[in-house]
Amino acid sequence: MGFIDDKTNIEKEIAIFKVMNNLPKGEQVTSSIESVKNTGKNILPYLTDMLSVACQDPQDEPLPEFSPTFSGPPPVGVLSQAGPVKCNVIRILLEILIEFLPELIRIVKEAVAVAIREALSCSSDFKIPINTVQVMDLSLIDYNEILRTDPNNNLFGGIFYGDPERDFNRFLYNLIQTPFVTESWEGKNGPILDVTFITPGQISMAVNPNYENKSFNDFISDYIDSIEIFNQKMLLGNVMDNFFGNVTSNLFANNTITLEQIENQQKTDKLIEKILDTDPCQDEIVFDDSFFEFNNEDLIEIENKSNQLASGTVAIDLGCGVFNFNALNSSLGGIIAKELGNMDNTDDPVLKNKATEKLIEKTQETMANISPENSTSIKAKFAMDASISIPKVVAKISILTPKILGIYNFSNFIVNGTTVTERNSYDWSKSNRVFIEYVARESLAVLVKIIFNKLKLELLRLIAFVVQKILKSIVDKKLAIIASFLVGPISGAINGLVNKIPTPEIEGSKYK
Amino acid sequence: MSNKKKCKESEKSGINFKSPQSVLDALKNLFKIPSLPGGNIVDPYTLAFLGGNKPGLSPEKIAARIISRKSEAGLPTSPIAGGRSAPDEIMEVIRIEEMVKALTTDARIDVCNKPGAQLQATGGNAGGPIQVFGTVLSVGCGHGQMS
Repeated sequence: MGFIDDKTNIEKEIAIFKVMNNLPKGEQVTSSIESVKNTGKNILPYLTDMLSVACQDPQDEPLPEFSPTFSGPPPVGVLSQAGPVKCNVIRILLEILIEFLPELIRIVKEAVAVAIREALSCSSDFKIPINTVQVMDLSLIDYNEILRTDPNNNLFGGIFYGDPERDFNRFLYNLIQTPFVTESWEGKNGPILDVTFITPGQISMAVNPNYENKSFNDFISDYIDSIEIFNQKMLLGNVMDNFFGNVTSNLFANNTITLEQIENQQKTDKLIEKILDTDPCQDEIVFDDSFFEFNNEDLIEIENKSNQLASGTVAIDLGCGVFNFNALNSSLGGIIAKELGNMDNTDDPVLKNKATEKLIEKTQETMANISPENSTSIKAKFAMDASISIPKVVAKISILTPKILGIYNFSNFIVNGTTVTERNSYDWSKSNRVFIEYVARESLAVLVKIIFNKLKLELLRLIAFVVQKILKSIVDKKLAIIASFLVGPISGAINGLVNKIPTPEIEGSKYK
Repeated sequence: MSNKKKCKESEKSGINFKSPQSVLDALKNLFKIPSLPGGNIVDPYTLAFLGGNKPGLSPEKIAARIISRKSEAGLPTSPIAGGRSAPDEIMEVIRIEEMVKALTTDARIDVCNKPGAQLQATGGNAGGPIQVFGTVLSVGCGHGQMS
């Protein structure tokens, strides 16, 4: 219970400091906040809640041009248009998608490289033998049928593909259009892999002679360095799909993926949730198979979420009512396609950021139209859910994707001589929990750090106001005490003026 | 991978962002505001010669001030329908009366003088007047009354 007590105490401290600062209480300063009471150790929802609780509109204070605090104006490129952007949870989502994205990508990339070595128990380096070739089923590196989707249509799979020059998924997609033709994947130090598609559904992966008899660690590092792990469009598109199922439902409708595959992805998401709900530094948990068993409640949730994603109609639970929303049946489908397309068509980061901002804003507006009287809650719900889904989305697009599953399975073959046999994403994730855990924890840690630093600035700002008040009250108290000695004889007259408000008469008052 | 490896700390700030407890501890530390030293508020001569001028605590005055500030908390201050005083205002008076009563009847004030105070005294005996200059060596204590 200490963990919940700590969270409750911090929430109370924030509330007390806000009252001490003579500012009106935030609407959410109550113990009814779900993330405070939650026993799970994933601290991201809690920090996000506390950020919106601590955030205070500075009201009449003159605003600086840029303030790093959450209460101040947003940085350039984030919600740059005038409007009620301060203290808006959507700002967290946009700052992750815009301001902190390069750091997130860098850390996830490093994590994937380390995780491959750690997961394969390959602490010491070795030289790669010559003629290292593995033929594997394409289905074993593409559990979600990404390579059967259309890279050029963002509503039918384009969100799984990155930059044409650096995306290994796109390289594989192009490769399977021309069977039995070997293509080389190039890195900064020359060709790394030779890959061939063999009909009907196999792929041959070979270490290019350039890396034979060279360091395995260099091979992995150079490969990871050469690929685009994900980009802004991929992250944004997958966050939207995770929430609305706007791509998944299309792929389900045209028989690219099955409900079973969607369910396996949901199970994997649940597995990541369970891992992230533990504290590796405090909890002594052994991740055996029983840890990954789901109870009935989990299974019902997985089934419901899978059905919603397959149909594209999501149930938005506001706690006081459920609203159904279908992105593709509303104007949102067109907006998503347009803005993601705009991101594809430009290399200018400013324009990409604008498209991100526009898409998020329009998504909120469209959703709010379902129930205008609940628009604030609906907007906050989307922003909050989308923000805390990011570690799961990052795990999906940076692990359960052919560009990583391919090299991981191939590395497993190089190191251990074994071939992966798991036929679905959930079984693979269970078997390779060390790998998935490492990447999920690293991506969560980055997000926790980003939001913690925001929250810290917000709290320090609040605390500075309170300290200022305490110091002023000490001086005021001293002056009042001195004055009480000097004007004692006439203070009665002054008090008489102050006390024009009559005190209530109390019958039977014993003390007078 | 061992738990030790999973939670390796890499931040210079000492916060381990992989450990939720470490993050909570860091947040809790933010709220620790150091106490400021008090110091002498009033010089002793003012206290000695003008202390008697103070009027003492008045529960009515305190209650009136609190009630007059109710509007700062967004609460109405006018009497309720029928002209009767609002129950919360009556409660405010009762509360302050009880507090002042406790302070004036139950509160205990202990006052002690530190050793080292300068001492100057005059007196006399058969030999004539005597002047004494010295230092108080012991701790002297007494009680006070709040009124």
